[in-house]
Amino acid sequence: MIIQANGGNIMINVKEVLGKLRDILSPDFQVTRIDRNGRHIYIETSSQKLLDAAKFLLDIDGRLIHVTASDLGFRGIKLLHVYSFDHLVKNLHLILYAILPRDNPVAPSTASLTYQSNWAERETMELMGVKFENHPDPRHIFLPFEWPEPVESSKEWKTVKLERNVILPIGPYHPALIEGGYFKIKVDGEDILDVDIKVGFNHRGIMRLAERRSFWKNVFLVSRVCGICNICHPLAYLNAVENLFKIDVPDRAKYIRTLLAELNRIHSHFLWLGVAGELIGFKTLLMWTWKARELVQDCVELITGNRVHMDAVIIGGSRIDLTDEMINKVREKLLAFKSQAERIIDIVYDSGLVRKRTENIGVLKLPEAKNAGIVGPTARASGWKIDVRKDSPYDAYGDEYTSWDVVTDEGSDVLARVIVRCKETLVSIDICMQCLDALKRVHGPIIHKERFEIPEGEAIGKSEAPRGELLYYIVSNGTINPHTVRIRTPSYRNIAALKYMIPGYTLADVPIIIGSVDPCFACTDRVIIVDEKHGKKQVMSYDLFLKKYLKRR
Amino acid sequence: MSFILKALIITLIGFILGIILTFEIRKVFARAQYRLGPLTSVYPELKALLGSTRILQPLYDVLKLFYKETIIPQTTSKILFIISPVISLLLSVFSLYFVSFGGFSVFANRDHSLIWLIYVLIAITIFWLIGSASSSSPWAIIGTRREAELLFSIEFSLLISAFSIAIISNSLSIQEIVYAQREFLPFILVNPMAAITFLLSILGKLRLKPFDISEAEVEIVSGPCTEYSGKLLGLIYLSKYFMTVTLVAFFIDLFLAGGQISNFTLLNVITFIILTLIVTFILSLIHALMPRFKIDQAFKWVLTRMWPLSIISLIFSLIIRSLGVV
Repeated sequence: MIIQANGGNIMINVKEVLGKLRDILSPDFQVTRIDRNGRHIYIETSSQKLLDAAKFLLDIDGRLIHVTASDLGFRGIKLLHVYSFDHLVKNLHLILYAILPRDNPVAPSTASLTYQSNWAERETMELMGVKFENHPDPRHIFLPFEWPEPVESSKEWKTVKLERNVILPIGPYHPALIEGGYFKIKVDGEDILDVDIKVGFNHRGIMRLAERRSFWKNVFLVSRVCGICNICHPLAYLNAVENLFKIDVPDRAKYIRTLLAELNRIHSHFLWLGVAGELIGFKTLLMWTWKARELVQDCVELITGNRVHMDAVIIGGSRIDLTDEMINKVREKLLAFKSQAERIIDIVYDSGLVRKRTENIGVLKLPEAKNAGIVGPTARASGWKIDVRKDSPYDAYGDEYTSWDVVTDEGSDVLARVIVRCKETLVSIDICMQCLDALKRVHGPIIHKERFEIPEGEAIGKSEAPRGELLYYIVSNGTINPHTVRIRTPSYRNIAALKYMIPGYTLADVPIIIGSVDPCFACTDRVIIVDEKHGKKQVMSYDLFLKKYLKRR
Repeated sequence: MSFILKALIITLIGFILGIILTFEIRKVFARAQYRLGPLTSVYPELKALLGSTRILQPLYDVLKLFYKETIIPQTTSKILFIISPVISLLLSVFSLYFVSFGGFSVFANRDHSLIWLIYVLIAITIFWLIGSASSSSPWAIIGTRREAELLFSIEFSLLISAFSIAIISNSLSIQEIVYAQREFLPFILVNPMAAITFLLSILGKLRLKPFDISEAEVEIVSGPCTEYSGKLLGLIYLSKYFMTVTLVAFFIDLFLAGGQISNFTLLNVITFIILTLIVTFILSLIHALMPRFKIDQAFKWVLTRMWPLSIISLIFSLIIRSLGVV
């Protein structure tokens, strides 16, 4: 038995899984690296066998958390499938990879098996040039859809005949979206028939930038991926790097990191609650939550000196220590915040109109949620108990440091997502309090001071950002700069899953459904030439675009 | 006092009052959110820059728009697009003449002024709709559709609650209704259900929360006004200011005896103005503390809550009438 029901919890046996995997993949099966007490297992196989492995591993409830590639130079392109089983067995990850030839990197697509790898494979096609066979939707994701070809060969503006169903563009610039994302929504009156999502309006190439900077500088680079979850990116990065370098972080530093991450989560969730309020027209809620949130920002400023970007962690520990006086002040402010937060959450719970606008809207049931591979509070609101903090504990989230519980809700709708985030805020306050208590008790160094060498190797690191599971994959070649840095952000998954949430509801529900996954386009992602408006499709050729642009100059 | 002079004075009062009431809605909305809103008295260091008060902020908004370029999209049907804001402004000014400003009015003493007023109020909204529908922007069309749905539902309860008052007072003249209240009691005490439905209908007519569905900026940008800019948008703003005054004054005339507490017109006008501020305060408080309905929810809510209540108020009025109390 591979899957064992153990007291209601589904458990899998690692050895049996590996045995079965060996049978499927043989003779191309080679365990090349075992990490973290045997829980991160790297397996080399051939590219054609990846599909069989995917069928098997998805069947036993594995999560394909990322598909990415690393350029190994003359050796070829290394294509990785990162599977996570940490919701079944703590910390368990299987990383399957195949080396593809440089001249013709072709691999089978797993996107038809699961929607989880759809966007990831499209990204890999774009960034690494790997060709995926039989991909159901092989369009560009970060580049414009038509790149590098001009859209149409004709040099004229082309008008497609008017349809009955109006196509409404939501984005890239729209009042409902704070950042640039493009939702092509087909409506019949107010009812939504179909939605198409395009991201990539803010692609900054941070993954490439990180490969040209040293490991130490990257900590501050990756915190710039997203302004709101700015501590979670370094923590996931450090989780991978410290594991690779075999560095032990002192306990006190762990508590400081956890405290900062939780403060980050509190302010992110409250920021979201306000924005969600605005999306259903409750502007007063926005102002109230953002005022309460200032107290948390004050705590962050008190500890780190900055209101937004904390920049408080480095490899091996923390840059910043808390004095007893600071601990008392932070505790005071958090208690003040808690009383305000409870009042605001009561208002949200009790308001009939909030309930009316959010109940049974944007429903994503568990089987669909698993197929779409959503993460974070959105997944927990669909009743899926996945939380990196509990499943593969890092820093001071383990049971030996702090005690807390994962918040889930069975509602699967927008209201459930509101409830999960509200409860999580209160849980986070509790974790902060525990960390503050521990900081008074645990003394010692806050940074790893021993010398170490940079080994060759690879590692994955995860952290739970306010929006969900964040993945970093790092390859070191023994030099001061990482060879490869790959980032899989939570919003990447959640925005892709919007495809399943939006159709079937009315136009008035679109902003709150998009808002309910807490989309962070800065995490996820340039200018589209196709402009669609009231059913007419006006397509501009690249030549004409250049001509017009030059004429204007 | 001659007819034209009276009309001019009422237009001026309506204009100033419209700006002050709009200011009040913004101010209460801001204070409920821990914001300052437009300042009643500007900080000393900013006085040179901003002037001593920003009570006239809604006026400055409109003046700014009049300085701006008016863009008319090619896809619009031009005549309707330009003419409908103008007509809705004219109608909203015209609607002022039918309400009694503390006994001070032009047409309120006519026999069927109540019916006239309701016609004009519907016409203002309809011309907003015609203008926005002619703009052929998808946002504006969806906004128009929503506004039209809301119009059908809200207008009914407004109509019924106004007529239930007419039944009590046995008159269709607004002046007569006000006099009937002076002799008996303000009708808010006689028929509070009609007052509630009327107040809620005002929210819908003025596109205040929870009925600002046609202007839900996160969904449909700015709804019916999406393609309007510059002077035409300024006209729409102005007509909204006038309409605010008319509706609030209409409420006071029907339910609060038109502010007429004595035989002195000046004192009555002052009482009337104070009452408009109070009624607007209640409206803006609801506006501040409510999220937005979806259009289907709003329609259903109006259908299941406001329509029965207004019909009950109508029956109640008929009973009172048949008892011959008033």
